[in-house]
Amino acid sequence: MNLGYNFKRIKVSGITVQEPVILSALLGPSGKLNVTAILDTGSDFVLLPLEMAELLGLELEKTKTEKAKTYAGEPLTTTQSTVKVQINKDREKIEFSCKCAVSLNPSAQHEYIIFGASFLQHFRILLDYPKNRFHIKS
Amino acid sequence: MANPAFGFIMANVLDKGFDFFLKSDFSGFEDGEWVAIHKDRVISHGRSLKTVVEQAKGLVPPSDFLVSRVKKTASFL
Repeated sequence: MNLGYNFKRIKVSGITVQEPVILSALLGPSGKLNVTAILDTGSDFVLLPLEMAELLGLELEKTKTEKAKTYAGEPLTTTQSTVKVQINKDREKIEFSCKCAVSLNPSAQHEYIIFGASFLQHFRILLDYPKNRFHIKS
Repeated sequence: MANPAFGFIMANVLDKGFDFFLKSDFSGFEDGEWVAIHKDRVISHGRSLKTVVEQAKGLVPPSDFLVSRVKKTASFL
C-alpha cells in the first residue's frame, strides 16, 4: 500500500505552512465518523478530544486519568482508550485498532485529531515538503 | 452481496470533501470551529461537535461528510 497526499497549506502569521493532514474514519461502538487528522511524530498516541470520544461511544474510564504535557509544557489530563481507524483511498482500504489518549481538558483545542506514534507505528511515512507531497506506506 | 463499485462512489464523495478541505482557507469561519463538509461546501459548523454532526446527519448520510476544525493560528503540538 502506498497512499499519496498533498499537504494542507494554511497561512499563519502571514506565512504559508504545510501540514500532513489525512482523511480517515474513526469507528466506535456508537458509529463511524469521517475526520481529518494530522500526522504528528512528536506525539506518543492518537489524541482525541473528549467530545469526539463520547460521540463514538468509546469506552472511557474518566476516573483513571494520566497526566500529559503539550510541547508548550501545558498540562493535559487524559484517559486511555482504543479506537478503530479506517483509511479508504484510491481503492485501498485499511483498518486497525489504535491506542488513543482522550483529552479531558475542555480548554484543549487542538484543531485536528492527532495521529501520533500509536498510529504511525503501522506505516512508513515519507514527507516531501519541497514537492508538497507525503506518502503513507505499509 | 455488497457492490464494490458503491463503496468507491462513496469514497469519491468523501474525496471531493477532502479536496475542498485542502483548498479552502475557511475565511468565513472562526478559529477552532468544527465544520462538517459535504463535497464542496460546509453544511454545518459551530463550537459543539455533537450539534455540528447532528445537523449534518439531517442533511446527508453520515458516510457522505467529514468533520474538521478550522485552524488559523500556529500550533506547537
